[in-house]
Amino acid sequence: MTAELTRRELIKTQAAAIAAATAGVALPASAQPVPGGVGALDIKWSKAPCRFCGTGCGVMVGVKDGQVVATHGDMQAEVNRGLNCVKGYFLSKIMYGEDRLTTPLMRKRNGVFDKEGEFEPVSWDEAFDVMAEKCRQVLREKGPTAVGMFGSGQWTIFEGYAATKLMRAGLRSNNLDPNARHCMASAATAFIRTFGSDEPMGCYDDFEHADAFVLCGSNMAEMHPILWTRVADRRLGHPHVRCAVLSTFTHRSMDLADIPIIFRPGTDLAILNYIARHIIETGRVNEEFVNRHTTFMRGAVDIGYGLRAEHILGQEAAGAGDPGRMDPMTFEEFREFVGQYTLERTVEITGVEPAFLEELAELYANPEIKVMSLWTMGFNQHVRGVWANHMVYNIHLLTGKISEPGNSPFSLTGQPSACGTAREVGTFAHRLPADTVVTNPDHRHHAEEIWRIPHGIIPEVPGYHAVQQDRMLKDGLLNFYWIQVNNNLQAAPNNSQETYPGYRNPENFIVVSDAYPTVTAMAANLILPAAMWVEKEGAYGNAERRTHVWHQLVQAPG
Amino acid sequence: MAEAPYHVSSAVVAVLPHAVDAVRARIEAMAGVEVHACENGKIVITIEGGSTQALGDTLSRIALFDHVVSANMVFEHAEELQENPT
Ligand code: SF4
Repeated sequence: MTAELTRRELIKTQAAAIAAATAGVALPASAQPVPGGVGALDIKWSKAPCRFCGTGCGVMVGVKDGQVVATHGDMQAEVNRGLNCVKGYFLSKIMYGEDRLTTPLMRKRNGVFDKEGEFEPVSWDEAFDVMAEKCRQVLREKGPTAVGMFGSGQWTIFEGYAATKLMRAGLRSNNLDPNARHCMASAATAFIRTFGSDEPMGCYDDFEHADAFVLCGSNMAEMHPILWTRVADRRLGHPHVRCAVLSTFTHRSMDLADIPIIFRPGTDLAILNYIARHIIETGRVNEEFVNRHTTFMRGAVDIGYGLRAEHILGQEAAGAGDPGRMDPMTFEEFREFVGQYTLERTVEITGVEPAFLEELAELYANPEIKVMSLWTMGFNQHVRGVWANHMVYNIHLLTGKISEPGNSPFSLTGQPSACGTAREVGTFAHRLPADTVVTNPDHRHHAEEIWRIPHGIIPEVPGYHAVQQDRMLKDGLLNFYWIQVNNNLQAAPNNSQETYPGYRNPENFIVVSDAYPTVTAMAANLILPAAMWVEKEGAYGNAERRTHVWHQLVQAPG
Repeated sequence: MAEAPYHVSSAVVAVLPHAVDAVRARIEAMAGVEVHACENGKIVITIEGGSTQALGDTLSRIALFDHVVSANMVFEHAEELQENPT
């Protein structure tokens, strides 16, 4: 046997042994790991959270000769208990791509910056000098509302915090927003409107306590595979457990569904109102809970679509001027409102089998069943995303099935730190750290004290949100713009009409920090190479608000 | 001195109870894949190959087999192996 083969066998045996331990399966004696074998591999192991999604799996990272050469799921991590999903394969690979950026690149012609020039490598000093000069010029000529930054739920907590401080305390601008605006804004708004505080009240341990799972607008089997494994273990290990999956099309999560519901697009709101009606009309409202902990409010309707003010769809919408408006209503009025959504009418609207709708409604109505509702972008990127979020809370609050082990409305995040950075640290145009807002004088005062800056520095008017930033870039009102840790030209709405023309507007200076030449980077004027993941120290906050901190393990290239 | 990229990974495949044998047989027929253990609807496998991409593709294919509930990676290791051990 050659030395190479021995080493291969050793690695393979170790791989199998770790997987077996994770699955709780015994290996045949022949496949037991070689004693002392792991040490012989010369790998230093450290912990970090996975960087690819909001699940926040714990990962063991193996470094050899300054490179990440191996990863495996952390068996001691509560979230994933040793597993990683298929994206885990790319944790090390993503750091070593051939086109990784290693030096600043600036568009130049005849040796000087020129927006119409080609990218040329420049020194950090030159990059920062030009950047500072452009920023100062814009501040001088147009003031702080003309500078802005666009960040991400993949920022580390520290980076997000530094960004919010730099923008608000340093540049005196609230034009800071994360790409989480495109995904989690409806979840965040509904959290604030319902509970006054943003982020889920449940945690992943609810999976092992729930008797029923309801997925709405979420294909967890493919998008949150590790959490799905916990749902599947619970479902397959406990015969009484039920799983309902609501979607507009059949997907992988349907394989496990006892109650598969395919509804006509956009009609899910009727289903949610029907469930509320079912709870009320079958006398299963948890009155004590409702009386002690809830009030009833009526939201505005006909609120338009958040388009430019002059857009015809906004002009026609009577409620578009104040889409967040809420007026008090009584329980009886609420009952009357949802009373329209009888089973027959809901079947007619949605096209769903009546028996499935009744079974679904019973999961909530039956006080003996602990139910977990799980949703992602099917709700959060809904045309009425805030409403959809509200309506799930409605049915959990009517029954008091909330904030108890296994009773848990749960909005799952997509990005590794959408909760931890984008939301908790306050990187939105209207927010300050820890659920405070720029519009509240006490909150501003508090932040100014912590940041040790004079009172009155933080502006009170919310800045431009993500979509508005693109419009203002195009209109020439936002002129110095720094994009970090996201690829907005792939992701922004109305890209070709607003975002791209905004970046290419000759009046604007666009900086992109990234590890790779994304389409967004290629549309910039200056590209700054970035360190990623374990090339720097950092922390992420996952979907259950768990904060993971990690050490720098390797050097970034360049 | 010959250097060849060598990638190995392990994974746990969870299968609906009635289909364990059929899925196991399908997995065993795949090139570069070995079954190491199988219990309680969980199949422990290793996948070997020349690139991360190939390994990822293999596991993604398994994840899409009928009756597979989840196919999750546990361990992955990549290095340029040399004839002489370090
Ligand atoms: S589920 Fe998310 S956090 Fe876990 S390994 Fe996959 S991508 Fe990473």
